Amino acid sequence: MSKQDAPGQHVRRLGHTAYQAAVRLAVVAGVFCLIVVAVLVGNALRAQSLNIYDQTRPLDREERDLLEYASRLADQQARYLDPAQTGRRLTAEEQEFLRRAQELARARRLAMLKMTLQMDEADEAVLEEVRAYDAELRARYQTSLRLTETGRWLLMVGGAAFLVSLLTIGAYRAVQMPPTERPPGSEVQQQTARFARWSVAGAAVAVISVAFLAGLFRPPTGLYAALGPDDQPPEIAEEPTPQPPVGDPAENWPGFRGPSGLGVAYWTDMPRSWDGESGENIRWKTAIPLPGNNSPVVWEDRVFLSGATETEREIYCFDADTGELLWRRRVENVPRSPTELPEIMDMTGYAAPTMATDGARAYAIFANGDLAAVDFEGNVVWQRNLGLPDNRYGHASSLITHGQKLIVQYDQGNVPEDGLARIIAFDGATGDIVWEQTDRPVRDSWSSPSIIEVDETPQLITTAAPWVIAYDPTSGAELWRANCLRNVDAAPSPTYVGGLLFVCNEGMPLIGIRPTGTGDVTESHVVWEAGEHMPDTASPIGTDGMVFTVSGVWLNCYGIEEEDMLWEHGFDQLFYASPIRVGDHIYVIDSRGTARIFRPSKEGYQETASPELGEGVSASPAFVRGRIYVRGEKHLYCIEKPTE
Amino acid sequence: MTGHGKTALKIVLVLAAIGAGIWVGSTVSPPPEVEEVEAPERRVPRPELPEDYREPVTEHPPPRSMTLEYLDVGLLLAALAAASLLALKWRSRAGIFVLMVGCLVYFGFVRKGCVCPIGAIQHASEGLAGGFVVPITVLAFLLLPLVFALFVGRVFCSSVCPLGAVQELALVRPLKVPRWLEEGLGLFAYIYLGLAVLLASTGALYIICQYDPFVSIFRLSGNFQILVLGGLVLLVSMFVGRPYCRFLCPLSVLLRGGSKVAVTSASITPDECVQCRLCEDACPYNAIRAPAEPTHDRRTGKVSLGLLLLALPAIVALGAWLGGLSSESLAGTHHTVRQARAVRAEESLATAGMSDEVEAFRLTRRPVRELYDREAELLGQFRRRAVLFGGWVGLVIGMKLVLLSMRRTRTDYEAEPGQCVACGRCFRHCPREHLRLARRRGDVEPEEQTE
Repeated sequence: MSKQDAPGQHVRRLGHTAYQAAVRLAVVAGVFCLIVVAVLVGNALRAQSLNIYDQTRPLDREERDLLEYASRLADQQARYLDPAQTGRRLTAEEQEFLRRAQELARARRLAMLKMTLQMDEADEAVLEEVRAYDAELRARYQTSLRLTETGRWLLMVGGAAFLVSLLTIGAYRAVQMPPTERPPGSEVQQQTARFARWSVAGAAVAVISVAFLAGLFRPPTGLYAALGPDDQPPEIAEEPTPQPPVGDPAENWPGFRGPSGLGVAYWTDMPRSWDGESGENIRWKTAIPLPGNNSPVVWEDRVFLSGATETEREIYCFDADTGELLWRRRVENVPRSPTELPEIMDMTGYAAPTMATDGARAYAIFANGDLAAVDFEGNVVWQRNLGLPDNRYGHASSLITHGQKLIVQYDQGNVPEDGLARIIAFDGATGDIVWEQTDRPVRDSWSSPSIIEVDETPQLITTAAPWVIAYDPTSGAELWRANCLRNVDAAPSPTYVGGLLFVCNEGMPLIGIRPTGTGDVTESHVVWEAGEHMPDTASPIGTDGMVFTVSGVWLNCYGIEEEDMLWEHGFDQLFYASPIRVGDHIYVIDSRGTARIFRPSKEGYQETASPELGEGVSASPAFVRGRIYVRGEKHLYCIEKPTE
Repeated sequence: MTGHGKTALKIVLVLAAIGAGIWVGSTVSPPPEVEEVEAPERRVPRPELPEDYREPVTEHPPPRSMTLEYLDVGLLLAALAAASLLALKWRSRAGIFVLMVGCLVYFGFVRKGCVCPIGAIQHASEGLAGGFVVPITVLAFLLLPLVFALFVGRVFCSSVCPLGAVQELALVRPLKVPRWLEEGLGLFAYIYLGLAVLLASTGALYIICQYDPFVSIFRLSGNFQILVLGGLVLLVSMFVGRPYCRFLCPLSVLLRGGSKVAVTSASITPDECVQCRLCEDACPYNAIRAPAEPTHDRRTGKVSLGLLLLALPAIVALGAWLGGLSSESLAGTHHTVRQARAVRAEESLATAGMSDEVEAFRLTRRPVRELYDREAELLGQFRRRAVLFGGWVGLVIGMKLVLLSMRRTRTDYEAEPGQCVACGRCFRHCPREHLRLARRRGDVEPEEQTE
């Protein structure tokens, strides 16, 4: 259409009706497309807010303050700008402000509805209101979708018209020029080839640079390679080869309440008199750097403790003979350790759980969920964080070992339905999870697991409201469970005597369970019940047809055959530490540091001695090879009879 | 190469293509056993609902019937045949345009751009790597354009490809991209092809589909990024002819290769070139080559060519090394590797909270070791294949430099077969074409035909 056109024809064509129509169409279609795009973008932005889940998500404090302020302001403004009162029409700006204020008020209302729902699920009126709002949002969203659907078709039609008009304009404006003089093809080819080689070389350099950069900044693959430049990886022992433990767990004090966590000492020849003030029978006394309520753990010539504050967490190793602090290991740079502090009760502290040892390594857990394994020289073998515990009073459950496995009872949540409670067994040498039980319909607890032998089969016993659950410590398989912990605060650990497992909680009776069943044994194996004032912290201890509990200032004796309380004896101080059976005596230390050493008897309280430590005590003592290790508020004591 | 030799080569190539297709479609390893996955609506706990609540039945739309799939293949075949006739025999730009619009409507808007021969490269790659058995219809979509390219050039690009059609329609004011720049930019299509094969064969990503700038146009929807990408490519297409086809399209790499040895292909002139130069600027895609005679010192040319040929293995080796170097970054495109890295970071970093990837993994209750083992296996795959990918890129760069150092003698204005998309825009610029049309209309006496 063009090669034969004379230059004058080109000018005439620009005045052609079709050409002018194409120009007008291009303008109209272009403006139309712009309007449609603007509407679609606005609609897309509005659609983002039509999500009830976003609108009912938990608000942080800043958002709550903002909403509160905006709502108050909106109320004031609404009254001030009410046309019925002022007699004038609202400006567009004022209307927009009011609309926004209404949205904010609604958001606050939704947040309140959500809170109400969380507290009372059965409130049908609240549910109806939420459903109504959900339906409204859905309707608005559907409208938005229809608008989008219509808009994109309009945009396509408009875009097509715009393109067609542009192509038409282009065709009319096309000016075909006669060929100009050009250098010979060979020269052009030569020059083009030269430049093209440089162009290819440039592209190659770009590709090489990208590949090199990709190689240079390749993602980390090592276990701790994801740490930032300022984060130092924890000092991991280079060769954490498992060392065969020297010593028998039964002859040591490997965890809370001794071997298996049952509060029974292997060694029976223990001192019964001492005086912390005068130093009588005190072999040594060493200051503990950081506070903690955990009890001493003893393996051969080592005594382990942990201490922590809000910001520091440490493990200590003392020489059992001299009390010398052999090493202290700061637990830091733990992978995934939260920066947020756990909410704890002051009495619980940041190092309440007692450590555990398997003879090769010592393990410690802290209130923020940091779990560390160290060898006996203080080298970190592994460490990890179990997640910030959601625990009302702060995590306090002590660790326990079974063979080379470390078992952690990590119960959390306000209600069992939270599904946060779990019990985990780690490979002590590597920190790998050996098994994990999350089917624990319990809430947060402070009790420590213990292991009992039933028909020569070990059972790992855990107590947390409302269930007592027994697991196979080797595989983690659940053996049985009993729904019998009626109060929500589960802190004491069980005691096992006379074929009965005794569990208790503050504000409920002492319960006896026959640990021989499978599945839910609530109806079939919960066979014993007596008393009503159970301890809130200290664990019971059983012996010779009796179970003793220390609750508040009271020492209670229950007869197993009698299924009743036989006697009670009052003291002037509270008990936090758990009583320990040592041979034919029971030792229990009150919160001021006075030990009550008594011979168990159904007849009444028969005190043998009541030596004073001279320092408050919350932790349970350890009894190993004729020595008693007691953690006071600030010191670790070793009590021993003088050698004759 | 003699005419018989070329024909024999083409037959061999066609047979090889068909053989490869059959092999991919039938002899690849059977699909791995798929774990029984719970229906999506049961992967989350069922909320507590009133007893009288009637749970809606989840609808699973049936897959497209095989009849329709075969119909698509038939339509593709018919469109390719029509495009061949229109470009080579009837030389009708108007016909090509109409066919192009028709194919855009069907393969683009009706079929939503899927499956397309460009994306089918990935299916074939994953199928060859043992990922799954490639459906025969998908293979047909990949092989038919290639087979046609071997016989009649890039007729698929001319009027069947919906992606090309969008760009063709959007071209309002074509600007000339200098040839030298085009050579450099053209490399990226080869790299993109290699990358797409690498990522698809490892099961990581269908990058061509994921970053298809036109799919949002065909489906009239898309996320923000893809809409922006589509808009940008469309904007560039208004001034630069078919930028995606020329500088990115992986299929064009294969079609270019096929077209270069094609039996015949679209030509500017219907019979002979009269060297009028009227078609010099007719092609917006820089496909027309002017006549040229080698004038420079042949000895210098031979030396530089020899040096480049000697350097070629080194360039390939460098590419392979760089490919290996970037393998871990490339592996990050695989979801399993990303998940393993997220889990590792979550276990290693002092971070609160949990990413979706980590949470998803934790919900499976599978041991971390299993995830890490799978990651290690994938990293090994990526390492091996990234070396090949790097080698491919090195080879392409080296060969491009070699080819640019070779001198070609050309006596007429010709459409370079590899570059020409057979769009027919140049037909009307040729006076011989006007003569042909006039002759057909009877406006020209038969004796004038020889002028």
